[in-house]
Amino acid sequence: MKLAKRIHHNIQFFQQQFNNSTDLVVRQFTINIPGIREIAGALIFFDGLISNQLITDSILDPILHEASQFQQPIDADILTFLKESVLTNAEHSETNDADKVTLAVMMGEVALLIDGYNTALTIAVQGWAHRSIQSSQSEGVIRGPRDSFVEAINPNLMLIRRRLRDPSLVFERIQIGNRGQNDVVIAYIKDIANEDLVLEVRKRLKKVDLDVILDSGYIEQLIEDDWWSPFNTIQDTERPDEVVAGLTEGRVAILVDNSPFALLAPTTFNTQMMSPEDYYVRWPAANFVRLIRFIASFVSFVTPSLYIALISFHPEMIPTQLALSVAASREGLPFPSFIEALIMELSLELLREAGIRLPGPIGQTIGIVGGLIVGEAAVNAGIVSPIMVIVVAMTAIAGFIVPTYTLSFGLRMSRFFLMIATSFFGLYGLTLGLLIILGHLATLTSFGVSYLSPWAPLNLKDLRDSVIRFPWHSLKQRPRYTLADDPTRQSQDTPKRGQNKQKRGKQ
Amino acid sequence: MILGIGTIGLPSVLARTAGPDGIVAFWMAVAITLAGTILVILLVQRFPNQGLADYSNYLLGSILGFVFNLVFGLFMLTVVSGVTRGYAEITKFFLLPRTPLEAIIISMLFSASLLARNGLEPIARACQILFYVFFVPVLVTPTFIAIFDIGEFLPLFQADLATIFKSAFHSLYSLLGIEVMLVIGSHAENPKRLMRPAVTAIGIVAGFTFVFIVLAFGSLSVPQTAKLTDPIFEMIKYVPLPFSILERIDIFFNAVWTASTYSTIVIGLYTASHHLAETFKLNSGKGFVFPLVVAVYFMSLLPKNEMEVSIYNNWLVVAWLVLIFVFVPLLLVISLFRKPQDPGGQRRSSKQKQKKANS
Repeated sequence: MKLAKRIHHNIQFFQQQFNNSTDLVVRQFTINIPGIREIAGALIFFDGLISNQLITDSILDPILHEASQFQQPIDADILTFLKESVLTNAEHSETNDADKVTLAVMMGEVALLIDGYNTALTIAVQGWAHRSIQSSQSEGVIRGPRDSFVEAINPNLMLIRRRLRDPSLVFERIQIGNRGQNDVVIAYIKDIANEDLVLEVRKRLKKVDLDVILDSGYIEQLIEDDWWSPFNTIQDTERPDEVVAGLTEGRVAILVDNSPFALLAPTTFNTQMMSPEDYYVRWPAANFVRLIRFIASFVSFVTPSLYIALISFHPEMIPTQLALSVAASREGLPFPSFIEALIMELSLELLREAGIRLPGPIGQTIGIVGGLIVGEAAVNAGIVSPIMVIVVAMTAIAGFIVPTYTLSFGLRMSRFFLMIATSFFGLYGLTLGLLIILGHLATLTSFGVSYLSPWAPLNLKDLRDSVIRFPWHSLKQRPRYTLADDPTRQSQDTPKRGQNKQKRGKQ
Repeated sequence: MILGIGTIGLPSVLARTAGPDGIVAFWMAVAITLAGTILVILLVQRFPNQGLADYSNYLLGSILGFVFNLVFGLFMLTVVSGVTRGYAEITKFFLLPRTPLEAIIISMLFSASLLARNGLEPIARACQILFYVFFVPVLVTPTFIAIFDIGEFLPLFQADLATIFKSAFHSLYSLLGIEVMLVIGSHAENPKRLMRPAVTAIGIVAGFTFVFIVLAFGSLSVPQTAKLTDPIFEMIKYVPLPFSILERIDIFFNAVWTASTYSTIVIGLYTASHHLAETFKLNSGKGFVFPLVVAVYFMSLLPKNEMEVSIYNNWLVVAWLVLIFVFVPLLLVISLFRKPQDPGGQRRSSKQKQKKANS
């Protein structure tokens, strides 16, 4: 729909369009330029979405004061004059499409209407309150940058751009959400990211048809390859350094306004087991931690099931002394090992969930009360055995080592599945459960990439950055699974082992 | 790679039928399997991009071809049911004495069917991961040095040729699997290069199995191995692992073996379902998997006891020999007289024509 020439028609239209919402501000004024008759103007915006200071400094002051002091005759029409000579501080665009103006106002821009013109200027003076940049809550590191994304999208883009001063870095902004019209940005490096991957991301995003996108989680669930799986096939992160690393690997990032979590695609099980810190510390330390992480994740995954299997089905596997001690500690317990494990594991999940919901200091207290006091009370009351408490404690501690929060969800849910399978068939059930999970992981893909890459299909070069990370000098190629257009990330001229030492020696 | 279910009991069978010369018999079986592999791959290479159902129809005619395809499908189901039953018997004996055989069979078939329904690529990925797991038992082999005695299976070549042949026949059950290439070989990107990976796969399976036979003979002695039904598990029980927190690690070996059986059943179910889909000109064999699982379940319960399972498996070997050394050569010979079609090539050429027309 086109705008009308008369300003009061346009004002009326926008008031109706926004249903006379109380936060809609229509500020009318008169422009008085020497040599030209007085002309009516109006600003339309939503209170709270704009910066009042910017409106005063960049729009009202120039129009009402600077323009009136203009001495020379004006050749062009008044709108062009305002655009080119008066409103020079603010970013603006011109349109005669009423829908575009409506969208711009909803996005926090100001619409400038002038009587006698069927076009409007939309001026970017957004200035809503947002959280300042803080350190990451879910992906903390000791060594490495601390900043993390915030809810507002523009500071997030700035955090990426500041790290990646590459003209090939592209941000494509689109609006998704029938009613929300939320900003979604596709980020990629043009000469690295595979073109088909970018096209596929674009295609899937275009198919999203929701009222409003409140978090990137909405997008993640709507564009992933396998929406029914407990495992996520799109990585989420609140760390800008992680996103930049992903972009340089040839992956595509998706940022959503109002969400501090960016999405990275494609992803694999392997990439989600990596912490950004692995690349910041020296490689022997990184490998030491990685090995512990992989082993601990497996321990956390199977320990409760193994406990059930050994206690209920195969006690002959436990060394005699230990078996006697376990039997003594379990004497008089009313529940079979499966129920015992289930009670404790569910209690652990309860404590974890309660700890997140409760305010910080109370959350910690709940952890201590739940973990120590209730645990000990349960043992004394004869509900669970002391060894079960050890098993749960091991599971909990080892479970926190998984660096990606979303992946740990999948692993935690699968752990319950394994416990049920084991309760039916002992170690055979545990093996079968693991095989079912493996089979499921083998069927998963992330934008066409195998979730089990680089182990299956085997890619020897990508194995350099999997369970073990090779020194940076050896990581000359980008990961193969992204099918990056430019596969090289380090030139072949980088110093080889001992070369730096030789140079120092010569000096 | 399909690591045969029979691997567990093979040392015992070899020791019983040929004594120390069981090792010679085993390599004879490997040679027979390799010959079969070459025949199968030669046939697959003559019909690139075509499944067994396609080219057998073309070579034998629609009626004979249809019958042949049904029989092949039945053969695959028989293999899967034999493997499942054999596995269930041993698992019941070693791990779950109080669990009904039916429960073990159903759980294994159901688990395998979940993956078999998802097509060849996920199966290949899962098998690749399992392939790494199969190396775990190899890691414990150095611990056998303390109880290993090479003199236990020497001297060789004491048994007569008929005995060695008989023993080799029994070994074949552990080496079955190459027949799946008749169906899934059509998915190979480059069929001309199929020979080397197929021979390598047989080599790896043979290598694995040979290590276990030698370890069983050398650790338990040949007469003792002959007395035991599943000597590999018995042998693992004696592995002296220092600082071990678990008393018995044979159960973990059982887990690896379960993984191996699972991969065999998955591939078997996929092959059978895919082949039947091709036979009935359907796009996907996914819908066949669950009905086939039901069929396999009932077939696996046909043998009444372990003895009948053994007879069932012997008949399987006979059927395999007939398939590989009668039907496959027959199809190869007929293909010499009937020029092979290349539907892939036809598809390519029609696409090229279309491209030309468009340009």
